[in-house]
Amino acid sequence: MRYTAWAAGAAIDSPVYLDANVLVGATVSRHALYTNAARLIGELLANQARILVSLLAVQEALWALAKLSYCELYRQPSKAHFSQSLYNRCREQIFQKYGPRMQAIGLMLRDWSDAGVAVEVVPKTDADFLSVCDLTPRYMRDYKLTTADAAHLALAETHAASFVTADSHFRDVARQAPPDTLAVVHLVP
Amino acid sequence: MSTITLGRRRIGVSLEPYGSDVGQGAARASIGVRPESEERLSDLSRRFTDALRGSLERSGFPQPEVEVIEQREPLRRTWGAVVVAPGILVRADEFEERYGGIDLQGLRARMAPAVFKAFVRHIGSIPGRPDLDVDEISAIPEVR
Repeated sequence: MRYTAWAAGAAIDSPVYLDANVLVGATVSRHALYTNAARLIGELLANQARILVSLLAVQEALWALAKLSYCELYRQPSKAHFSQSLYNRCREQIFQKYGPRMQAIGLMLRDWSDAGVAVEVVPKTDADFLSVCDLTPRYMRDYKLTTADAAHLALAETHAASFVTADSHFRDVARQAPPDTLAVVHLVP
Repeated sequence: MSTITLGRRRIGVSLEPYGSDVGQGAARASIGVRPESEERLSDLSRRFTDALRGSLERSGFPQPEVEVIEQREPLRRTWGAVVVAPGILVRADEFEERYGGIDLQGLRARMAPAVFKAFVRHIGSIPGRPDLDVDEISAIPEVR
């Protein structure tokens, strides 16, 4: 596994698996990573890269948008505690006020696909799914990752040449992992 | 130089002292019509400009060949708003927030129009905040 901190203009090998934080990073503005996230997505689309996404990444992105909406609704800082029970209590208000934004990630992927961008959902086959199932607990153990992070890495390892993420944990993972073809591309400000 | 504005056309009328007539109050008038870029011109206004330039030529006002600049003007400003792509209009402040620092013209040159439109439509479409940590906020507590 190779690690690179992405800088504008740097090449990214295709196919590219996108972590949830990259989907959110490019869709939501004003934060520290936004400009580079938008530039990176622009480069991928301009270079006609194959873009790989997973239901896990979309699920996490939806969670992020729900939390952002909760923070705005109740004037909370972005790091405020937000749990499943809080979400359940606020869900109606979130959708009442911010319903359209909850469609943003899905609409973006649909528009990209309709425009001819190669957007693919992974795992693609039963065999791929079983590989991800096999790799995920191994990565949880070997790299001390949470279940979701390990699953993202397994999805990327199974299908992609590059794994684009804003999660700095993967810098350490790339140092520990044996060298192979996967590049961890770290989105930094 | 006096300028007459007809819609979006600018016609310059210049009154310059004429050679030996200096001091006698005489002057020579020169009239010019500046061509606009292709994207700015509708077919009708282009024909109007061509007709006006031809008429001036025939009336003894030679029209110099003027290089048309800004052949590709991707971002048109309309009453403080910016057209980022066909059908996508944003306020000027929103434009800076979402597209500032991004080489839109360079990307547009490298993308199919439909892809560029899909790109600009969605990036930064949700207003965030400076204290937002996109990795932290994407972590589902009970799962990740």
